[in-house]
Amino acid sequence: MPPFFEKLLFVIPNEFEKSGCEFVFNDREEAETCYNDSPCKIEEKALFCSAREFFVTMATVDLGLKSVAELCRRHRRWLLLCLAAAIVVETFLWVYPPRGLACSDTILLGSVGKIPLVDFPRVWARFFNDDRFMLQTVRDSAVFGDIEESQLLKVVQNSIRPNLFYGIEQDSFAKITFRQPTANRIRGFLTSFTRRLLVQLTLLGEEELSFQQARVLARARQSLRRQALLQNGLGSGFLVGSTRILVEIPSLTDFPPVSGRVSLLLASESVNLSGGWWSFAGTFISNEFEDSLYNTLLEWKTLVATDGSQIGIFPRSPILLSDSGSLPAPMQPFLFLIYVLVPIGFFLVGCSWILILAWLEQTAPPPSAA
Amino acid sequence: MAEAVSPPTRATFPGDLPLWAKVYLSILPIGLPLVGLVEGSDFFLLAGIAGMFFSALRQGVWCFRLTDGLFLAFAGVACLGTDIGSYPGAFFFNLGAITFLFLGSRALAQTVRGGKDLSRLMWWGSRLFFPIVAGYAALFALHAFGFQEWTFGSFVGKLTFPFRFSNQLGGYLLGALPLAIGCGRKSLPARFFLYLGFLIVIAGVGSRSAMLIAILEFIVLEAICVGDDPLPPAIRVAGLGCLIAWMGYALSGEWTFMRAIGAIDSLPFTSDPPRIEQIRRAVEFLPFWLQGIGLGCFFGGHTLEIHITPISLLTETGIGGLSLVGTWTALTILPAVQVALGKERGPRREVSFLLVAIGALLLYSLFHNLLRTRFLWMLFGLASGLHAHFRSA
Repeated sequence: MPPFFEKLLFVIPNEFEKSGCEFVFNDREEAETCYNDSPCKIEEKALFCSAREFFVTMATVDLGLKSVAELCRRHRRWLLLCLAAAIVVETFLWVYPPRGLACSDTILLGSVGKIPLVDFPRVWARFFNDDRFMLQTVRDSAVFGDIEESQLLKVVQNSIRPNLFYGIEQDSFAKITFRQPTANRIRGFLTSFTRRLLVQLTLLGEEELSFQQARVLARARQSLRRQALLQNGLGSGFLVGSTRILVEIPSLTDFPPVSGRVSLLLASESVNLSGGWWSFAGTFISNEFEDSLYNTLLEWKTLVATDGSQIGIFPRSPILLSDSGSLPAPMQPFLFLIYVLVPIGFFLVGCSWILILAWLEQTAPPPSAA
Repeated sequence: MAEAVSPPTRATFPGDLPLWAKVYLSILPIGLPLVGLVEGSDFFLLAGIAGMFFSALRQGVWCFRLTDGLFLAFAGVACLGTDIGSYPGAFFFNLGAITFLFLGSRALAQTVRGGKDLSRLMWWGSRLFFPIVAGYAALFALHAFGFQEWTFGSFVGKLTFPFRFSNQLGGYLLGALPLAIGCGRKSLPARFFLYLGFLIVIAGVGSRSAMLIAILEFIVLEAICVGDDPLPPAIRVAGLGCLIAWMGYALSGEWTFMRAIGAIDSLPFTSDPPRIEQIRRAVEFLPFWLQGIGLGCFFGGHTLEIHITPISLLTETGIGGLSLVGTWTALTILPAVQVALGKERGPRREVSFLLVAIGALLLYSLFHNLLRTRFLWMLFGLASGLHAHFRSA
């Protein structure tokens, strides 16, 4: 088998190392200039080696810093190829940013006394998994064009559901995020989805509010009846002059009640024990129940109030806090770094390839040996 | 084989090693960071790198190797990660650290100009091995005899000193033992004394992989030293077996030793829930394995390091990065393998020990992330320095 590589080398025997270590040069001139202050013997040696030895031993190549420019000029095709590849990748990444773009809508959930009226995770699970709801939302948004239902269903399964998620902040803020590889479909779908979900949340919230009002109303009536029972059963007059409660309870027929019709008036807080032991017991028990009645009436007031700063900031109906014109943002906060690093990466790969080419050229067999 | 050698400077003559290399190798095992993650030895490595660049600039010549090109390509591929925009700090830190260590290994390689240099560098690199092992052996004796107050809290948990983490100590011990044995000819009692101390410390590290690799290392080292003394192999094996068995008996009450042999909890020896979890999370990034998510970005995103270096590389730098690092490693150590196998002229004995050290750490890298382990890069530096030596031989 002919040798893979043969070359004439110029060797200076090393007198400092007894093990026979030598200094080897590619040309005589380099060897001569090396020891210009102390003349030494330069031997010529022919080198033959197999391909295995050639690659295993990895000859080094001296690259002058000035010759790098020459190398780049000589291999400009590779550099241009790297530049073209970098431009293609940059364009691709511009259109399809890594990790995609996302847009968020924040909904303030309807609440009473800072407690949301609707269990948002349950509502989300209900509609998120509802194919009809999702399909209708996609159709309403009109961002996926006029495609068949089966295709649309695939889009929902593969493209929408995995990229649509929510988070709850401070119990009352639901942040819905929709992520896509490109910007053009995000806003349209998210607006449609949020709007439809908001409708459902409003309906459910109103329903829940009416249930809560009815429950509180029933409790208030029960408390009042209990007070009346105590007053009548344990002797009239034991509460006379002590505590007088005037409550105007609306009937369920004129629901919802108007704020202001409920009022709690404590006429006097002095306790009259002139009625004897029965009166004392009645006053004691009534006093114990009064707290419950007071709280129930306050709760009622909270449920029906229509003014005040609380209701203005945290309304009972859900509201959309985000502007529907907000644009999608990249998922990665420092995305611009990728646009900087990609050309650098290709440049480094290109440089390494050019250096490897230079190495191959310099260590390639001379034409006579080829 | 053709090789152009740069005009010799003081550092290239085989007479002496540069000061920075001696200090760097001496204090390399003191792996406690001074500021952030910067260790004392890094300053000396920086001096070596600066000297290398200064020399190249003065001469106007860069002695380019194929491995340089591969590293440059690796750096380029690492820049193509998809999640760098999310964790730029982690990316730049890791790329910077690896580049620094690569340049350091390159500077160290230039100091190897002969078999004697290699031997000297190995000696400097393993200089603290004996004090560490002997110190821990003494502490263990105090611990075993009940003088707990004199043990400075050693043998309570995993051993880490003089490193920050126990796996760093484990890696150092596995890499330094062959160097310590390979510096000059150690007699059999001296070797067995070193093995004894080594076993105490490696058991204290509490790592199953380190323990298994250590036992494997004993066998290989004894196989290399087979010509050093007239004892037949059977007696060596029996001696090693007795040593390991006795240490097992002596350490049987130690938690770290039980952990090292996987005898704690009810989990089987091979079970490893944290690594299984790491692999599971890494597989989640399968769609990104073409270009990777970016060097260091897995840790940035999960505050969790993949303890399997190849999978870490695959996840963070993709198929390209893993292939380049694999090729780089192979090309760096293949010439040394040629010397060790006798197919090339060179300091065969020293190179064999060096290869055992590299092999042990490469095996260890299958269980821990050693991408930024200084000692491994140091060994690569010594191995790549061989090119200049045996090419000219």
